[in-house]
This record gives sequence, C-alpha cells and structure tokens, in this order.
Amino acid sequence: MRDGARERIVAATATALAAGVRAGQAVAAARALCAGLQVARADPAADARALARLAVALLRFTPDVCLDGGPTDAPGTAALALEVGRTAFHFGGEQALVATVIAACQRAGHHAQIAVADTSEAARTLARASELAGDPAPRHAPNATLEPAAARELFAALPWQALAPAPAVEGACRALGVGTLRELLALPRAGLATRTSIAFVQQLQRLLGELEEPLVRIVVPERLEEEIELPAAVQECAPLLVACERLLQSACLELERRNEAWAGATFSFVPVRRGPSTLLELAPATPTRDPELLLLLLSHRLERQPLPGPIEAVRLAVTQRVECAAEQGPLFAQQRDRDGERAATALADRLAVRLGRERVQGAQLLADPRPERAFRWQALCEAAAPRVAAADGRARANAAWAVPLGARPFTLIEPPQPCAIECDERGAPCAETGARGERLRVVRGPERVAGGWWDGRDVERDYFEVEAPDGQRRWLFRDRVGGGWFCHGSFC
Amino acid sequence: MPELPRKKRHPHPATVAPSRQAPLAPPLSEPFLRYAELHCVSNFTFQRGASHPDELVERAAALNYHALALTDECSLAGVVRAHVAAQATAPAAGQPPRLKLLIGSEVALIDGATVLLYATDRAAYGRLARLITAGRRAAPKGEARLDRALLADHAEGLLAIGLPDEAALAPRAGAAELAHAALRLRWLQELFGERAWLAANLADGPDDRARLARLDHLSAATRLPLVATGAVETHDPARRALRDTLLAIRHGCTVAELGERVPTEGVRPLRPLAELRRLYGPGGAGGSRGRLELLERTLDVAEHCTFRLDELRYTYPDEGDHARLTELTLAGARARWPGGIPDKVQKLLVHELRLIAELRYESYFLTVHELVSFARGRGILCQGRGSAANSAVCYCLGVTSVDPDRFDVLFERFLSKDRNEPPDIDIDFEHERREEVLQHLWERHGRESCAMTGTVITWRGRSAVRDVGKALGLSLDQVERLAGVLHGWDEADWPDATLREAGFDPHDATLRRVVALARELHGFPRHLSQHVGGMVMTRGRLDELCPIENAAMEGRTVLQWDKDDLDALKILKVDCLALGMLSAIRRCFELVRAVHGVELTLANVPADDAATWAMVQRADTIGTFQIESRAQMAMLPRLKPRCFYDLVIQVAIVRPGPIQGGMVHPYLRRRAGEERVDYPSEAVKAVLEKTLGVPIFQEQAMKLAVVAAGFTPGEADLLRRAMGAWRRPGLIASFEKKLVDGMLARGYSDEFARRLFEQLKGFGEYGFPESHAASFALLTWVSCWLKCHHPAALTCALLNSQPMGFYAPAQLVRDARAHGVEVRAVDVAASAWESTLEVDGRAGGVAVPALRLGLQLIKGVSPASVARLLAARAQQPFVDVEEVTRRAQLPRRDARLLAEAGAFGALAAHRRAAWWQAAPAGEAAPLFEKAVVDTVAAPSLPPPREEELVVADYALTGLTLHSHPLRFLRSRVAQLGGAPCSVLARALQGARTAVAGLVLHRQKPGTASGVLFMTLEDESGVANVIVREREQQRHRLAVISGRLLLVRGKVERVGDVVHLLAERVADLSEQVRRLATRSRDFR
Repeated sequence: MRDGARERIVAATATALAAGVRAGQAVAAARALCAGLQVARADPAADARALARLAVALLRFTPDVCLDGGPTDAPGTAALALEVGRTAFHFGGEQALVATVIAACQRAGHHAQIAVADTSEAARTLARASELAGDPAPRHAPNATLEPAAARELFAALPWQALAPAPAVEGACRALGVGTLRELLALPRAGLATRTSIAFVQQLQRLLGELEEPLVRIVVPERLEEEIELPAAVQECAPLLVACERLLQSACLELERRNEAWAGATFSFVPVRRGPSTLLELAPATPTRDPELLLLLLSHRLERQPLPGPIEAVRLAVTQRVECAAEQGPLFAQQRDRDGERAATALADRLAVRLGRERVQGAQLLADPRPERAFRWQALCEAAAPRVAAADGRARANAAWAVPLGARPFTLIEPPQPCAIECDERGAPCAETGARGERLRVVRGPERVAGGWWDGRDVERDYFEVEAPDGQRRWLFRDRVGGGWFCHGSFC
Repeated sequence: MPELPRKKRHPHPATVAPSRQAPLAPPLSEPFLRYAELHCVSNFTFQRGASHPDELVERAAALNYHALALTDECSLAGVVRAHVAAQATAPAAGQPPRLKLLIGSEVALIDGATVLLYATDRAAYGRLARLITAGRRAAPKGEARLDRALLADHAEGLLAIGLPDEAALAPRAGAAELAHAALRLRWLQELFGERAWLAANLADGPDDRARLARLDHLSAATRLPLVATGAVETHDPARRALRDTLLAIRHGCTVAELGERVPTEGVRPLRPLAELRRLYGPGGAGGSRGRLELLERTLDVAEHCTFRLDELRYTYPDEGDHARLTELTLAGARARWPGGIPDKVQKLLVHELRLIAELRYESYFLTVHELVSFARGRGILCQGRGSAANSAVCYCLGVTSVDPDRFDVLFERFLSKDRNEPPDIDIDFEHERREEVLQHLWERHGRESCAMTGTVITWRGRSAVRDVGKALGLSLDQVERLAGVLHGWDEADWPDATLREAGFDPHDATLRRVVALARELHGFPRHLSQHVGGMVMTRGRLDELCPIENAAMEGRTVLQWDKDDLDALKILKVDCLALGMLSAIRRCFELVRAVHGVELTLANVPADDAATWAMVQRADTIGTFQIESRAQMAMLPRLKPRCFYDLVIQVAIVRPGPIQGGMVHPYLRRRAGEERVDYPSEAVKAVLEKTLGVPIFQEQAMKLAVVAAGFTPGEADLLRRAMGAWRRPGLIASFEKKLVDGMLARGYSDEFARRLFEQLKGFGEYGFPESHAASFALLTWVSCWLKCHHPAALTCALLNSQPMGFYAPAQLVRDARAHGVEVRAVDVAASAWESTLEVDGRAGGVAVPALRLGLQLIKGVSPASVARLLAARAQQPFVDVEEVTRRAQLPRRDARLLAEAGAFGALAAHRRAAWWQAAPAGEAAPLFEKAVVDTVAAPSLPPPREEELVVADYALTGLTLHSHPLRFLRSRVAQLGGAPCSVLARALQGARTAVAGLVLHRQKPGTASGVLFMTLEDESGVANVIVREREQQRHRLAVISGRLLLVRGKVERVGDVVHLLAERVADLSEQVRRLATRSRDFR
C-alpha cells in the first residue's frame, strides 16, 4: 500500500509474519528482514468485494448479516456482524452454529476470528482481543442481562487495543497509561470525550449496550433477469423476436438506470411443458446497451439456431455487466447512424455472429522496427478492446508509426527465405546467383532496420527493394549480424 | 568520519591523458573524402547520448574525421572532457591535434524548432554560454526555455544549422507540411544569413532518395544550403541497447514501449568515411551523380570555427594589489602579536610574500581574506585549510588559527615555484550559517560572475540497476529485490548464488540483459548537481566562460563544469564548506563568555594543557571533533598524543588510506619503540622523518614519488589525480612500472619499492593531506580543551548544533553527567527553545553551570508554540497546566507533547495528570454537546513508573535523565545469560561471554570487507561488537532491525581495546516495547 512516498505493508502471509514482517512496516524494511519477500499492491476495493461476497454466502445462517466497517475504517478492521439469536437453534445452538460458520468461511478461503456477544460492538471487540492474543478459538461472552457482573468483568479485562481505536485515541490511551478497558471505563466519560473523541466514547457505550448500534443489513445484489410467457407456443422467429425485443428493451432501460452496459447475457427459450431450454449466449464486441443492435445480433443468431420445438416462454438473464463511463446522448436520434466507429463495430459483430468470433480478425499495428513484428493479428472484437482500455503503451505509440505505406510488402514471407545474392562494390544486390541467375536492379535501399534486442530476437538488416527482369519486385535483406541474404516478401 | 566519495569508473580525461596513446589511424581508404561531424551529442545530453565525450573524440580521430562538433542539448558540460581528449590526439607533444573540436550546442526552442549552434571565436563562445545560461536560468533545474528573441540577442558570431521538421520529411507528409516546415525555418536564414545551413541527416532510412528530394525542396524554400550531419548519439553501434535503455529512462517507459521514439535504423553512430561515401556518393541517396558536396560543406562550417577552449582566460575577482596584501598582512600580524612579531615569523612573512608576488597570487589571497572578513563581521566562525592555508600570511590574515610560531609544521607545503599548481584553500564555516556566506558572494560579485561548481552525478550500482530494471520491464518489486542484493556501491556484480537467493533465475535472458546494461551504464553521467562548496568567482563575466544553471536549491546557481573541468582549464575555485563543529564551538565560546566572562577564540585557547592531554590519552573524547569515532577512540590509548603534531597524525591515520596501506601498525610499533626506524636514504628520511618512516599524509606520498622515483612535481600531481582511477587496469600498470623502475634506478630495494607502491595505492582511495589534518587538528584540540574545562558549555553547544557528529544527544548527555555536569530536564518553567546553562552555584569562586535541556529536544513540538510560551512566561510565571496552554495558546498537539515529555514539571503531580489537564487545549467549547463539557473533576490517575517514563523519554526526546532502560531488564537479561557491558573491560582474550544493550551505531565500512561494527550500550557502559558476514546472514533480522540485542561471542583484546566477536545475536527489542506495559501487568 502506498502512503505518501513510502510503501507500507498492509497484510502479510503466515510465512512472512514468521520472518518478522508486520503490518505497518515500510516495504523496504520488510524486504531487509525477508530477502525473498513477494510484495503485491494492496487492493482495498477487492478486499471489500471479497467481504461482500462472504457476507452473501453467510446469509444462509441468518437474514441479518451486517457489514461492520469498524470504528475507524482503517484497513483490516472491517468485520461482519451476524444476528444469530433467532436462528441459532436451527443449527443446533450457538456453539454448533459458530463451528459451521467457521467451516463455511474456510471453504470460501477465509480465516474467521469469531466471537459471540450481546452487541455487535462487543462481539467485534472480543474477536479482536482474541486476534491480538493470537488465539484463533471462538469466544462466547456471557449474557449481559443474565450475568451482568461476569460480562462486565470479561470486557474490563480486555486490552484497550482490542477497540482498534483511531491513532489519536491510541495516543491518549498511552499517555494516560491505560492498560485495559477497566481503566478506560473508570475515567469520567465527559472528560474522556473531550480528550479523545465523542465517537470513541460512543463506541464504549455501544460496547456496554448503553447505546444502540446503527447496523445496516446487506442488500443482495439482484440479478437482471426477466421471463416472458408467450400468449401461445410458437416456433417462428418473428413472434419470438417481438418477445425478445421487449425483454431487451426492459433490460437496457434497467442498465441505463444503473449506468451499466451489456457485456454478456443468456437467452433461454423454454419449450412447452418446460422441457430442457435452448440457451443462446449473446456477447457483443463492445459492451453496449443499445437494444436495436442487440436485437440485430440476436436475430442473426436465431436464424442459425434451430429450435427443437414450440416455445412457451423466453427468459433473459444478463450475466455480465460492466460499468459505463458517462456518455453524452445525441440530440437527434438519427445522428447515431453517422458514427462510423459504431457502424464498424456493428459490422464486426454481425460478421462475428455469422463466422465465429475468432474468424474475424484485424491487424493491429505495433511500433516495432522489425517488419515481422510490426503488427499482430487478433480477433477483431478483441482488437477493439485496447481502445476502450487504452492501457497498452505499445498500442498508444502505434498511432503515428512512420513507415510509409507501400514501403513494405503487404504480406511477408515468414520465416524469410535464404537466397544467394551477388553484390556490387557498394554492397547492394546486383544479381541472384541461384538457379534463376537473374540480374537485379535496386529500386530502393538500403533501408537499415535494427532493434528487438530486448526480447532476444535482435535484428540488424539492410533492406533493398529490387526488381527482377520480369518486372517482379522483391524485398531482400542482408543480415548484418549473421550474414547472408534473405527474401522477406514481394511487392504486387 | 565522512566517507569520501569513491571515484567513478570512467575518469576525467584530464587525469589520464598522458598515459594514453592515441589509437593508430586505420589506412586511409578514402583519400579524397574529408568530413566534419557537426551534430553529435555525448552522454552529457542526459538519458540520450550513449558515449562519453572522450570516447567520441577518440573514435572521430580514429575514423580520420577532420573535425567533430560536440552539440549537447543546451549544455557545454562535456566540452572540457572532449577538449582534453582532442588535445591528446596530437601525434606528438607540441603538434596540433589531429582532430579539430568544435564547440556547439543543440538548442530546442519553445516553438518546436531545433537548431544547432557553433561558436566561431572567443566572443561568440561567450555569447553561446550566455544564451545557454539565459535558457537554463529561465526554467526549473534540468530544463531550458529559449525562444527566437533570446537566440537573436546572442546570435552574433554564432553559426546555425536548422534541423528539418521530421513531420515534413515523413513519406506521408504533403505539400502543406513542407510549406509549414519552410515557414518555420525561414527566420533562421533571416537571422543568420550566410551563417546558417539546413541539416541533411540521411541515415539509411526507409527511403533516403525521397527524403533528400524533400530536403532539397525545403532548402530551396528557405534559402538554407544543405549540409550533411549525422545526429550522432554514440561512438560505437554496439551501444544501441544502452541508447535504447537511456531513452526509455528518459521517457519513463520500457524499451519495448519506445516505439517510434527510436528510429527504425537503430542507433546513429560515428560512421566510417566509406559508409558516408556510399550514402552521399554516386549511386546513393543522391542518385547517379551523388551529392558529395554535402559532405564537403561540413568543412566550410568547420573552417568558420576558430575557437579553442584553451583560449579561455581566467581572471581573479580581486585585483592583485601587492601593497594592499602586505599592508593587511602586517596589520594582521601586529594584531596577532601585540608585543612584537617574532623573528621567525617575520622571516617567514617576507619569504611568503615574495613568493606570492612572484607567482602573482595576491588577488587570490585578497579574495579569501575578503570572504573571511565578511564571515567575521557577521560573527560566523570559520577556518581555512589546505596547502596555502597553513602559512604565516594566512594566519595574519585571519584565514586560519594554526599559529606558525606555536606549531612548527608544514612550511615546506606552502606554495612552491616549481609546482605549477594554484594555491588551495578550503574554508570551513559554521554549518548553519554557510548559506549567508554563499549569498554574500553572489551579492558581491553578481550572478553572472559567481557560481557554485557543478558535480556530475553518475549512475552507480543501485541507481543503474533500478533504472535499467524498470526500462527492461521488471516489476518494481523485482527491481528492488535486485538492487537489494547488490553488494557494495561501485560494482554491479552479482554471483549466481546471490541472484538465486533473491528469487531470480541467473540464466534468465532479461535478467542477464539487466545486469549487462547496468554494468555498461555504470559511470555514465545521470544529472548535474552542485559541488559541496566550491565557489568560482571572476572579475569579468563568468557566464561567458561556462553556462550557469539553477540548482535544485532555491537561490543557488551552478556551473555546468565540475572540479576536474575547472582544474583542466586552470580555473580557480574556493571551497566554502559547512562544518557542524564550528557551529558548536562558536556557541560554546558564547556560553563560556556568558557564564565566565572569558572571551575565547580559536587562536587563544591554551596551546598546551596537561589535563586535556590526559583526557585525550584515555580516549575520553565523546563530543570532540574528529577523534570521537569508535575507530579513533580505539587508537587514542595506543597512540597517546602528547603534542599538537600527534593530533595531526591521529586525525590523518584513522582513515581508509593508511589503514588499507597497512601504515597504522608500523607507525604504532615505531612510536612505542618496538621497531627500529630506518630510512633507505637521506632523501627519504627528509620526507618521512616526522612520521617515523611511515607515509601517513598525501603530501608525503607525492613527495616520495619525486625524491625516490624521480617523478617531476607535475607528474607527481598527475599521479595524485590518477589515484582515483587505480581501478583502470592500464593506468595502474603504467604508474607502477614508472614508480618501481624509478626507485630501482635510484638504488632502492625492490622490496622497498613494492611496499611503497602498495602504500601509495591505499592513498589513492582516501588519502588525507597534512595541510587539512593540521587545520582539523586545531579544531580537535579546541574541542578537547573545551570538553575538559567547560563540559557543560560544550555539551550544551553540541545539543544546540544537532544533527552533527558521531553521537546522539542521549550519549552526549550521559557523558556530560558522567563528567559531573548537572543536567536538568525540559521544563516549561525554565527551558528555552535551545538548551541553556543555568548558573546557581559556585565552587571555589568559579561558576558551576548546570545544563538545562531545551524544548526543541521534544520531537515534533512547533517553534511558534514555544515562542508564544516563552513570551507568556516572560510576562508572568505559570501556576498550572491549564494556564500554560491558555496563555501560550498552545495547540492541542503541542500541549500533549509537552505533557508526555514531562515538560510541565512541577505544575502537575505527574505526567499523566499533566496530560489530562493539557489534553483539551485548543478545544473550542462544543456547541451542541453540552453534556460533554469538561466539568468533572480530574480523575486520580496512577503515577507512571520509572520504566514508563524512560520509554516515553526515549520516544519523545531521544534521551532520558532517568535510569538506563537496561536497568529494568537486567534480571531478564541475566536469565538469558547476559552480563553488563562493563565486564568486557576486564574480560580475558578468548573468553566467551554475552552482553545485551541498546544499539547505538551500526557501521559497515568499505575497508572492512563486509564486517559490521556495532556499539551496544547498557547502564554500565558500552560494548563494541564485530559481526562477521556469516553471522550477519544467520541473524539477519536481529542484526538489521534489532534495537536491543543480546550478543554472545568471543572476547578479542588488543591492549586496552576490547571487542566482542559475535557468534550469536538475539533480538530483545520486544522487551523494550513491553517495558511500559509489563510493569502494570505484574502489579
């Protein structure tokens, strides 16, 4: 994680911890401790997503799963709070439930530090205390209503660090020589609030159940899914498409509302008597939420897709969505058609639908001095991707690569064909000495090409465009490193 | 001891010139072709040029070029090196060089045009330098900003070649682009008339004929004749990968991403004439007739340029007025010796003044005198050192305080007629006030006549690996790991095993490329920086001598030349250096005057004092100058200095030079009378007698080369300069042979000759001159005398001059208390910002000051808050904590810091109570939260225990007046088998023991082959620990990061000097962290 100019460790694996690496350490210091340390950039967003996924997975234990960001929102303090009072008996009591939850977390690839208490704050504090003590076992606090003394004693004995307070509060605890919550709780609340923060005192109050906790249940992200039952079973394309269009329009409206675009979806065509559905994947070259385009693509697909029998219902599930950058809508709808790029994408999509995605290819120019590496073929749909992502530095440098049109043959002979060439005193080819033995005239050259040492295929060549007596023009080069002449292509 | 900078691998050509033979010219394959390369950048065009200037010059000469123009981007930083190399191409001494060097620059204007400019004569050179200065000064460091108007102002006498707009030459370009390009170049013809050309830079591009046709078109449209240029970036095509790497570094991308920022034809080297003939001759790009006239025209351009760098003349800033110098000297002498100038000194002055007159160095001495008088006028303590500084004249002028009457040394080092070397005086100033002196120089001489010397920062091991690694696409993580396993600074050398350990496959192709390129890049200039203190001043315009640029530091301007360049052109610089000890001594003098009313100066501190010598001999020297380091302290009881000259030796002997040369032990043995002192000849005796036959000073090494090996003084000086380049294999052999042969021829034994050579080699790395050692020794003596007689004042002055020296405040304070100084804690009721002396007792009529620690010791407390606090206190003393925070308007943060550091002293029961009272400081009454208004009485907080105070003290002020932290851990340490550090003093050689302590220092000197020295401290004293490489690896974690270590090992004893050779190291740092809390747990 970056903090100012210094990179700090946020979390470490057990092996790294054993080597002395600690959260909060500068990366350089951690490296000094552990020579082979592998460092990856922290991704708080990914952590949050993982926690959210886990939260959804835990919904099977209780409908009340809450995301508890912790008192300071510092990395690594977020927790999940589960209200299990009402559901525990379904799982054989608290103890059994906790064991099941731990197992579920482990299956999901997480290590869970669990505590059970009357309030969420108390549970989290207790769990953190166990973590600080290095004790992975789950802990159960006594019921504060039934055994108030025992509960209070349990919490009073916890170290204040278990509260994971903000750095300013931490300073106060140290300055006042506080060791446990007991000493903290003995201080006058009002005075403590002035010297730390009101939020901290409220945290203490929540811990003791004196203040209500504002916890928000997680909301399960809904899937974009809709089904239309047809008025009558049909097998023809046209009525099916009408239904599909309705589905598409409704889905695209919803996508627009969320500012998302369609990256992939499945149409299910349900036959009469709910037999096995025919599935149709629809993934355009570039994410879109244009129902017309999608309908067009779908119609092409449907034309080639035989349906086994009459269809009773159509279901659409948008499975892949991407967030869109904000887009300025056109003032007049017909202006859309003038957008050349859009048209090209649509063409590529149509071709891809008919021929298969991988068969529609485009040449992507690369800024590489070596002719054979100055471009690459790739599926056209993918070729368009960098334009959206604009991440590849090479792709950026491409725009103005200065090799003139016509200076290189349209297709290259790969690998270059060795040939026997006789040179004049200036080093230019004048005749082919092989079977043909033709005289050659230099049209252009030498053109020196050098580069590529960085990937181990360094070349240093002098290229000549030569004309044979029959008027055919070939592109020859002399390998300046290994010697010898090669033919690399011919001009039409 | 500051580590002297290691020398770069590629030495300045001036230091190696005589030993180098100009390479033999290849047979002239093209007898009729003559060519001058007019467009060539060296690696002083940072992150682009891939050859040193001298490499380019040598190669151009070898290729039989008529001339070479060095045209670095808006810079003349490489021209001196190129000039020296060009001089060396002369077939024999006295003959003209085979290669003519043109001085020029590639200048990019803000409108996008790029122009090459050349100086035709001295005046034009001055304008070029001023143009570059103007462009550089108008932009942030490292950049330049020039426009046509600026160029027009400086155009007289310059030649110009316009570079064509590549966009107009691109095959895709149409007529519009061509017309546009012509329009952009036409002003060049208007401004320079017949002195302007257009660059025809053909280089086997995709279609050279088409390119030349377009160039012809452009030439016609602009009326600029075409001339062939090569856009050269390297002398050798094999540097292609390096050039690509440099460009990638420049653009902040990887080499694979460079794309069209690199031409398809790769790199453009200096081309053989045959290749040029093929390109421009018949059948080439110019068609069947060829265009050889484009090559011929390069000579026309070269003919116009008659300027040579050796035409530059340096003039001293002050006029050489002998009468004035004599007058000032005599006035100074009368002030130094009010009772009459001693005979000996009078004779010396006459001799020196005559010599100065003969060599015409009056202006130099007057300049230095002016500087020193300025500093004195401002109350800034300063002291000169260097060959000329320790002269009677300098003593009289107040440049130095080494009294030529009291200390009988060094006069033979003064200026001599036969050594044509400019006088050398460095002046040390108080480190906090040197900037005043520098700014005074700029004020007095003007920005155009005064600048700091530049320093070329070169790529070295780690920086090279980092930048190359990034350019080759290694991840940041990999780059750091690779740089991390680099051993040493200078060599990019990785054994396979090391690479494997760092998680790399040593056979990986990319990794091998990174390693090879990092090695190649090593020693390349990376950027210009400023010299530590070298100031150059001239009477005329300095910016007509060399361009001046902005330094990174506000208000400073720097020359584009470094000290070797200045040396090569005999341009004088005065080193104005910053020395922390001078700040401390000045403060100490002031404190002594305030307490005792005694006016001390560097010159009137008693010259001899038995108590001080006794203190020095028992190595009781913490806080003194130079002899306080651990190595110095280990030497003191063995050398036992008895007189000033012993101190001079002591200062010079504990240096890597004498240590590597193996001089230390012979000297000590001879001094102790255990070894006979014999000299192979009278001549050698004269040089080495005062150091008992062992060369200790750099001057002795040079002089030995003269008297024993027959070097001329000039050659000896070259030897001194070349010493930095010992690693260059050819050079070492040539000097070794000359030295050894010379000595054998003069009848010295082979064994003596070899031994001497080895010793001299040691000096090569880090020689220390006697003239500097003497000036340092004076400061050493003064600081020792002050420590002996005014320990409170010295400690106070040192604390106020931090950071400086070898010891942190904690050790200084501990040492002062051990010497009976009463040290009082920080206290808002008594402390000032700085530490102060409080006099409230007298012993036998003499004031006994106590040291009151200053509030500045509390880390992070704001000076403004403290100023308000002191002002409030001056009005009325404080009665409680709340009142302090209110009246001083302390921000919450400062109030809390003061409380935690215990600075509220008697105003509160203890620190926790003080914190509770101070903590709400700066808090506005809450608007809505009435309930939390602080009406509750203060709680009764338990007082902190001593160990908690100690931990807080260390955290906040770095020192404690309570017990040493180890005292609280003693029982724990004893359980682990650890003894107090003091046991080492009595331990026997070879005994095994264990000690624990806080780590004071970790040092890994370059001379000690990977051995790490550590100093541990506990409540009983310190222990010196040696950790060898194997143990470092085994206990890496503890050795690198541990704050409290338990070291088990074997006792190594040499006389009184005891080390513990570590066998096992355990980290107990966790114990310290627990100190504060643990005590409570046990309660």
